[in-house]
Order: sequence, then C-alpha cells, then structure tokens
Amino acid sequence: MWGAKTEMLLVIEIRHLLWMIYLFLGILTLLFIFILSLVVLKKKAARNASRRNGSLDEIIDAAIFDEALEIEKFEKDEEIQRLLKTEPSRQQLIDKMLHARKNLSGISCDNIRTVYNILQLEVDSLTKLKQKKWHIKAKGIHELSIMDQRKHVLKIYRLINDKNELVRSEAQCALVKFYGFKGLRFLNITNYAVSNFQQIQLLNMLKGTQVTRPGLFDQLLQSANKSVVTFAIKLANYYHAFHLQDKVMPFLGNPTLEIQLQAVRFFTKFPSDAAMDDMMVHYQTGEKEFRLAILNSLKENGGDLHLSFLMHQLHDEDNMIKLAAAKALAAVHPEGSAAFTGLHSSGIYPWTEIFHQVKNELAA
Amino acid sequence: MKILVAEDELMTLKTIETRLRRDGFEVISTVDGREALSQIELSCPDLIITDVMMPFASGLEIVEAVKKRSGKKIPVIILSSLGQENVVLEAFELGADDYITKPFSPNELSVRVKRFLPVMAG
Repeated sequence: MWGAKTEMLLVIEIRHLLWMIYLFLGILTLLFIFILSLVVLKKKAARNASRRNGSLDEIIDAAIFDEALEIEKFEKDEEIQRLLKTEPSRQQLIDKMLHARKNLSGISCDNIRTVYNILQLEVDSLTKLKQKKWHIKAKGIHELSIMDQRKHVLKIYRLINDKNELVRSEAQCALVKFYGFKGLRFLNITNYAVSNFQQIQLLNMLKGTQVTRPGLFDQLLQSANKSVVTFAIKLANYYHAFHLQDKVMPFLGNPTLEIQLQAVRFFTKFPSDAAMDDMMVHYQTGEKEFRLAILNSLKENGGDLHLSFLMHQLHDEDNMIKLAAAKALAAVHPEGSAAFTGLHSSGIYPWTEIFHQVKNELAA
Repeated sequence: MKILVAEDELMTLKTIETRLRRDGFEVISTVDGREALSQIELSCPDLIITDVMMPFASGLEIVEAVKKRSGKKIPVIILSSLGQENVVLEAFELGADDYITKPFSPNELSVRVKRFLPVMAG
C-alpha cells in the first residue's frame, strides 16, 4: 500500500518535472529568438546610423571644402531631402555644423551657415525656442547664435528676461556675439541679477571688440540693478575708460560692497587724487573687505601723504588689516618697513610673522 | 609626400585629413602624442601638424623629439587655441616652424603646408 502510493507520487512528480522542462525550454527558445532579433535590429540600426552619418559628413565636407558652393545641389538633391525628413537626422546635422563652425574660420565657416539656411535648419532651432523645457530652449538659442542668425534677434531678445538663468544667459551671450559691445544694451532692461559667472562670460566674449556706443556706460552706471552697475564698472576698467573717473567716484560710498570693491579696483588702475581722498573718507565706515581693497590700492598708488594713515592702521585690531597696511607701507616708502620693525623686535604676535612675510615679498 | 597629423579631436582631425588628401598629400593620422611619436619613427613623415594638448604626450614634446632627432629635417606646424600665446612662444623656442590658431581656415592650413614643399622635397 505504502509502496504503490510512493510510486504514484513519483510518477506525478516526473510528469510535472517534464512539463517544467518543456516550459523552461520554451521560455529559453523565446528568449533566444528575442535576443537574436534585438541584435539583428541593433546591427541594422547601427548600419543605418553609420550610413546616415556618412551622408551627413558628405554634406559638411561639401560645405567646408567647396569654395563655390552649389546651392542647387543642396536644394534639389533628393538624397539630402530624404535624409533630412527625420528629426534626429536634422539634429545630427545641426550638431555637426555647430561643431564645425566652432572649429573653423574663413569661407568654410560662412559656407556652413549658408547650408544651414538653405536646408532650413533654422526652423528646427526656432522651434526649440517655443519649447517649455529650459535646456531645449537654451540649445535653440545656442544654435541660432553659433550660426549667426541675426535675423532672428527679436525672438532671442524676448528671452533675456526668461525665468531660467541658463536660457537668459544664452540669450544675452547671443546678443553680444551678434553685435559686440552694442549687444550689451540688453543690460538696460534686464530684471534679474547678472551673475558673476555670466559677467566673466560676457567679458570673454567682448575680447577684441571696440566701444561702439560710449553712451551705454552712463546708462549702465545709472541702472537700478546692482549687478549691472558692478558690471558697468568692470566694463569701464576693461575698456580703459578712465574718462569715467568722475562718474565712478560716487560708487566708493555705495551701500553695496561688490560695487564699492569694483570702484576701488577701477581707481587702483586709473588713480586720481580726488578718488584717493574719497577712499580715505569711506574707509572708516567700510566693511573689512573694502578696507583691505583700499589698502591694496594704496600699495599700488600710495605716496608720502598716506604714510601717517597707514601707520595708524598698523594698530588695527584685525591682523589682516595690519598685514595689508604693513605691505602698503613697505611699498610706498623705502623706509616704510622701519615703522613695524620695532614691533617685530618686541616679539608680540603677529609682528614677527608679518615682518617675515613682507620681507620675503619684497625680496621676491 | 607624407604628412603626419596628430590631433585628439576627431572632427578637426577629419577636416585636416580631408583637406590635405584633396591637396594630394598622403596623410597619417594619430589621435594621441605617444602614437604620433612612434609614427615619426615608423613612417618618417615629411611634415608634422600637431595639436598642443593631447593625451600621453603634448605637441611640445613632439616638437622637442623631432628637433632632437638626427637625420632628415622635418618641419612642424603647431595647432594651438586662441589665447595660448605662451605655448606658441615655447613651441618656437623648441624649434617649431609655424603655427595655426584654432578656429582655423582649411584654406589657410593648405597654404601654410604648401610653403614647406621645398623643405619637404629635401
């Protein structure tokens, strides 16, 4: 009885086991077919992409190397038209063109822009400006800017006050790329603060450009936007606009530290007696950073007139101020370091350290 | 005539390659400094165009190696980016023969290369 029951159980288990094996093999076969078709499809896609890439490269090569560009070839070539029917192909071509425009100059560079216009790729870039996603919008502006599409400047101009910082930044850079110094007029209407990074970027883009609208300095210096005023003083410094001394001087007493610091930097480069006197007036009420900037400025442009002021600063509570005053003293007068040699001999902290630092800097 | 081009940026490399091939030169392309140095010994090119910043060995190291090398005089053209004035000066001190600033014009590159044809012809 017991033996028959065990045998039956074993038979059932073997049947089940067989079913399981069949099922497992079936799944394996399906999986194999699935992987195989995936590999085939992937290979086909890669082959297509490589063929498409080759055709797109041919378009770029024609633009770069054919000096007398055959416009009709691009307008009517069926192969090109067929290729550019899909959005990914068009984007791939735009990316290649952007890259080429950034790395090339001369006729080749102009030809790439011409082909971009002939193939109406600007439509794709303009469509991106209407997208909600900020990175797509920023990419659209970047494309139009690199491709020098000045005719669409109004559409870009509308984005200089976009709520997204990177979109704003791209739009502002595009304007400067199109019009150089004149492009900075957007600063008259910008509502947001222009970040330090953006200011550096704009100054970089202005390299080699001329001041084509001198009146813009005055407008920017009167801006209600503090970051614009800071940038305007930086610009005055950059373009050696020393004639603006009278207009920059009131900013030494501005309540915004960054503006004060820029004004001190301006007068360090273009010193004037009136500005030096003004700095002394505002020194007492200024923040530590502002006072350090003034002491550094005196190190560059100070004279005998400032000796007593600097000696007084040696007794300030702050060690950084003491050090900056000592450096300035040593720089403005050959006997300047004598003023703190006595303090060094006394061995009181931090005079030994200050003495050695100034001595080493003078030796260097 | 054989020209060795060392440039790690592939699209720029391809542009230079195509321009020079169209001008009738044989081009050997390399994407890093070490490969360029070994190709100089293997292929003995008539002219070298090299980028400054490259993996494994810089353009300046290539100039130095070429100028120290005995035998055939190989002119070297440096490809530098805007604002790399110090690098260009250093390259000239090491013996570089010319330089091209990126972004560059392929036509200008072609003209500059052709200036070295008499040297290349030996």
